[in-house]
Amino acid sequence: MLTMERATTWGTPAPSQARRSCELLKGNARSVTKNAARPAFEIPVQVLHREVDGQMVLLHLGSERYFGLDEVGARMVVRLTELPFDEALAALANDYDVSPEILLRDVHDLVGKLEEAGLLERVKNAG
Amino acid sequence: MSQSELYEHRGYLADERKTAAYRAALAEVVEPADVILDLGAGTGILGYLACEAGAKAVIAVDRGDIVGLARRIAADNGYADRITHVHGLSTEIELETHADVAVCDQIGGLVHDAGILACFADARRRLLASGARMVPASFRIFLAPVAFETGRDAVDFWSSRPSSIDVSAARPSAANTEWKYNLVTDDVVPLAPGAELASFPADHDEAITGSAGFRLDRDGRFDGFIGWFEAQMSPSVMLTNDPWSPDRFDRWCNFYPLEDALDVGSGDRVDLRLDIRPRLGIVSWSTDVAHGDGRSQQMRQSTFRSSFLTTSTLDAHTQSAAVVPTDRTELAHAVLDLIDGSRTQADIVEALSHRVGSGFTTRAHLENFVRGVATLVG
Repeated sequence: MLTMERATTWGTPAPSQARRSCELLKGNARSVTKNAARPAFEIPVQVLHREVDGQMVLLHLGSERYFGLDEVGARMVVRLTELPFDEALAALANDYDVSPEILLRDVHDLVGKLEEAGLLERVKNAG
Repeated sequence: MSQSELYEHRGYLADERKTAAYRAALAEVVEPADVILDLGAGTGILGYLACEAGAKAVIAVDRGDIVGLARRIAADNGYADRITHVHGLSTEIELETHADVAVCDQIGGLVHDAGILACFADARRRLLASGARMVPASFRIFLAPVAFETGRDAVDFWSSRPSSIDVSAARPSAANTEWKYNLVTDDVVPLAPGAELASFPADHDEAITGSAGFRLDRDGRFDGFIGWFEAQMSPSVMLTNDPWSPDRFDRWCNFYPLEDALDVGSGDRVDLRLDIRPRLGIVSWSTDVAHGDGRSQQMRQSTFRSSFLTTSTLDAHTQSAAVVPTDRTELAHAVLDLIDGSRTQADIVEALSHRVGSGFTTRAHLENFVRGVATLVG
């Protein structure tokens, strides 16, 4: 069963940023995180994920449930799993034309849903 | 029957080592009053071996039209009175009598990949008597790190710019594919002895996980892992597709490539974690390499990333989205409204013939559509 989660549409990101999002989503053979500072979140090892046309499909091996994210939701997850939280918010604010209040609200909303589904975990002692 | 089907079944019948193993195992397991359930029966050979072993009756199940051929062969060999043929999926049939033994040879290259686990698990829940036996009864799976030129090429081809065209977009799919090869052992160089990753009963359709550490015993190029199985057919009969075993039968092995080939040296350590989800049809393999000079690499791969997908395919599998009616939905309604138990497919096609040119390009197109709806709901 696939449940598609549609994150708030804030607008179309710049093409160069969209391509990087896809490349990050495809880079599953190596660790996605390249920054020295620890990212805020990580995708658990029991969750498989892949990019499909800029969107993201996640599979929780324990529950055998699929979960889909649209382009905006996929970009949120990419930023949150590569950067400390404040830097991820800043990067998303740069990616999209959205107010800080709405950005924070929507990020918290999506993170809550993904944590509840076991698709995202907070990194201990992360920034 | 197509050429490929004939070659496929010829291969099964000509594999004397496999036939001998099933014959010996059934002779050991079958008791005179037993009812045998032959799943994915094909030409029915396993049922005939069960009759040789003294079974009272055989229920031979196959989803394909080959079941008609199996009936002829059973009669020609004097087994028509003991074998009942069922045309359908074993997971969708009901039986009046629970069977005492289940037999199947859909083992694939590494057990999970041809259906036996799902078939046996379902049979155990619904079609088998309490304490029923299975042939094979259990499995062990093994993997070994290897240098394998042909397997390497299966991945690297996609970044080789064939005909000067960049097709590297397909490389991730190739690197996450479970490949199947009938191995010539001269083409494959093991970098360390194989290790057992898991053992499980033949009706286990839950997760299969295992890990192994390999200390490489030679220098070389590390291309991926070769996987094979040992099937415990019965208490004293074992069947294997181990490529380096003199007793192997004619069955492919599975190859799990690394994302990129690595130069490795004797003494380097490779840690493998394997995760197989039979119900999902997904295999994941995680490789950690620690070189003697302190370097290390990690690779995480999964067949979850091998298939080609589009958002339209995802949308079609999304249960939480509203199903939007289309012209084809309306056409299907029209066919369903005409199905009343008295009309034939030809009658329905005639009733909808005015649709040719509007919704259907030809009458044959309409006939195919009516047949599709009728067989889907029939």
